[in-house]
Amino acid sequence: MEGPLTGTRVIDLSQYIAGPYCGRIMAGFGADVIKVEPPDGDPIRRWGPFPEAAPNPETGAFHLYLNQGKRSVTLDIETEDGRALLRELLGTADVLIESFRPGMLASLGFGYEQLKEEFPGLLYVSVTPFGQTGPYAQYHAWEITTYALSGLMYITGEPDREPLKNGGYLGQYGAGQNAYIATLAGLWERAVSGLGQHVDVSVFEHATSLLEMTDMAYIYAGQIYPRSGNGARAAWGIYPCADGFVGVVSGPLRRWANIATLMEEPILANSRYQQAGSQSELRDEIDALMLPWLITHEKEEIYQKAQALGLPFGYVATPADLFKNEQLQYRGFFHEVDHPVAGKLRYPSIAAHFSDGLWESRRAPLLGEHTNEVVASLGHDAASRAQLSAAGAFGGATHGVSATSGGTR
Amino acid sequence: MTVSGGSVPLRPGQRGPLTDLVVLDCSMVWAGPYATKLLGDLGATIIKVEANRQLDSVRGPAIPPSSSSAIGLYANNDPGKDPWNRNGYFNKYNRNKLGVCMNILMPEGRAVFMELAAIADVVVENFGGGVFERMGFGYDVIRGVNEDLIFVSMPPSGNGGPEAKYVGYGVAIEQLGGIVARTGYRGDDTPMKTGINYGDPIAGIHTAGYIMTALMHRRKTGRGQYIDLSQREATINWTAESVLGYQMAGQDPTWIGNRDDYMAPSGVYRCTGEDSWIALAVGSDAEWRGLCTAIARENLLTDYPTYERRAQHHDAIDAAIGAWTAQRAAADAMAIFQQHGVAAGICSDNRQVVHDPHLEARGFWPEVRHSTAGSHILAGEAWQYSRTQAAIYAAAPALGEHTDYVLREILGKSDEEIAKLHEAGVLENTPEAILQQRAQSGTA
Repeated sequence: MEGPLTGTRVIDLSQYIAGPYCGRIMAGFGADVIKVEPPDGDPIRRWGPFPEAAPNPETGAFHLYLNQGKRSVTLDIETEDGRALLRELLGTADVLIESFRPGMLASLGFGYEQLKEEFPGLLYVSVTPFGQTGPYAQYHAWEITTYALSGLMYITGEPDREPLKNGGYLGQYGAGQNAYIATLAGLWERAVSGLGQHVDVSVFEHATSLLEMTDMAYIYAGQIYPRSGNGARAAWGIYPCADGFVGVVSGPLRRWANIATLMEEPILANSRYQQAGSQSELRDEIDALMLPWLITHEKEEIYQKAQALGLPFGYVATPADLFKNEQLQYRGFFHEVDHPVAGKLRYPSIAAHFSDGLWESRRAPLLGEHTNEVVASLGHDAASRAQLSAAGAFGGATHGVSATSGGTR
Repeated sequence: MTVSGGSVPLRPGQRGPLTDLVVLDCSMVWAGPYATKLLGDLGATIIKVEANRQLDSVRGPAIPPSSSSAIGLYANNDPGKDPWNRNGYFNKYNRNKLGVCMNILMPEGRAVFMELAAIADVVVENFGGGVFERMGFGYDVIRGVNEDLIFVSMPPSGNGGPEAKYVGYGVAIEQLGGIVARTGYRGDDTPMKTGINYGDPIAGIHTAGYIMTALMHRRKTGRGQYIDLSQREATINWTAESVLGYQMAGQDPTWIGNRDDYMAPSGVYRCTGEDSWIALAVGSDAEWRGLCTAIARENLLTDYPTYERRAQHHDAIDAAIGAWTAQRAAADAMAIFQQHGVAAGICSDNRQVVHDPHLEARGFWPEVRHSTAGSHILAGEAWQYSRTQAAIYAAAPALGEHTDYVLREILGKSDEEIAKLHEAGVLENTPEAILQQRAQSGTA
């Protein structure tokens, strides 16, 4: 399938989540993304969950998702031959994505300043916790670190308990999604100027840019914004139901009476409660009127019935719930993709329908699966490849399994 | 035949990789404006169209109640004479945008809107499913004046399908997208919302990237595109590994507080000072060595040498780390941990992050002067470019601040034509509620 990025070649040296996620989106839209891995693979291959809880570098959930649609080449860039091959690959590339600690690639001769003369058109995208400059540039970070520094953690959780991280790795995904925008904007400009440049993406800055308006509360008014748990507003927050939790959202106020209808509790329609609106003093009283109905109904039913009444309720969806939801089924959001080791799984695709259908879901590569074909395409014949292999340029073994398509969007 | 992009004058300071693009922004609140903020910060010209009858809700009410609990969002704590121009929420997300205020439901207003749509590369709307279309501005209609347009809708669950008309706030989207099911204190029986309405920025960041994708497609094929985004699906994209993990394990994930599935220890530890904390996670044996050295507890190294051991004895390790941090200021503890290669960071509150030395050194908080709110800093973006450096060069528009500018400089209308549109009530820069108040008090 011809995608909007078909013809764009990406050398993806990045590891873990943020950089690879940028590469995943590019691959799904048609780019030829060559994931260059160390001989023992991107360390994310060691993160589970795994099928049957059996660790396997080919079947970790993160790897399968983040490296969809890419080709995998193993190169030992600690060796001279490995570095020479990387340089040859960069000669064919439009984009380089990397996520090493600032200065690491420069120590091997692959810093932006070292490459820009030889490869003036190369868009060099660095995705790191703190960016390339500044006092924290050499600092180490995992998800919780940048999340804490950003201010997001301080405002999550109960006021009298410790700040709480959000579940999952949203800072990493978000930085990758931002890197995707920045990369495409760089390519857009390059099509006119013919010039590449260094794009410096920071996870910390991405997380900080999510503060909604709490930064403004300080900047505009000098206020320290506290944590408020699940919220102190009446009829607004996470409530238990028969099979989990629902999100009760009692706005807009003009629809208040519909909550009474939904929960079959006429007393709730009392104007006293409506006027209380989002104020908290009647919270316990209102909760007591809502809970009997909530805990006897299931989340999907509550959500559907509330929405039919124009109430913007949600529910705390687990993956099992997502697969049951009719809207996601209708839109064909999940694509079944087969993988030679992990088997068939349903993957999230992308979050939009494009009228021209630009997306294709493909599987993640086996470690080093494409080393042979990619190195051959650089003009190395079998003898040369054997020589490079013997010299340790590729590290581990190579495979030969063909890619299969998993759906389009 | 359309003339897209590159044909509008740039404003002082406007630069970045996208200066040849024009975006017509009909979105409100957070998700849509977040998307156009990203494109505007990359240099695109963003023309935000607003209505004086229904203000963007994050401008706040035209006449705030005297005991407004939202008072904290007004510049210098003062709603002033024009509170709708002084709200920090609106002013954060609408910098670098041109503001046009007009009634697009009046025929003359509709005509002006279509002229703008004709020169735009992109139109973005985030009304509820189908609302913009029912107002007469569907993709098929606008495409009639601009065949290669990129048109973006971003309702909660996408257009079409059984939930097309459902309404959704960010607080519900983060639940529906799988974030909340994994957020909460370990051992608690109820999960926890995040500190923000996560669904909105996730949708916004997705949308900006998809717009760029469609523009690349247009450059290749000459074809425009309709992008039908689902905020819920965008959120699921950021929780994807749990969706795959569920299929592998056959069971749903749960919340584990500040712990981590792949690292131990991982947590938040109290420091000296009120509500002061440091967060850290140990992702390798080398980091663990660094941590034990930093807190001078090398015995822990021999007691708990492996990840498995550390995960098993997490409580004991937490106690040891907490005893050390409790004697130290968070910033000092962070510096010591980082010197030992430990991924530690303080839990900044909103004041601390604004004064963070790293962000300051990177110029993350540029200052802009707003026409009535004064000079203030604003949060920047996650990326920097070495050559076509993007910029935050202009504050958010006061309501209708650029109406005349856009009609004159971009649409080429004469002063007479513009005056006529003002007289006809098509262009009106004062909120309807204020006009009514004036009419009632007889001071019109």
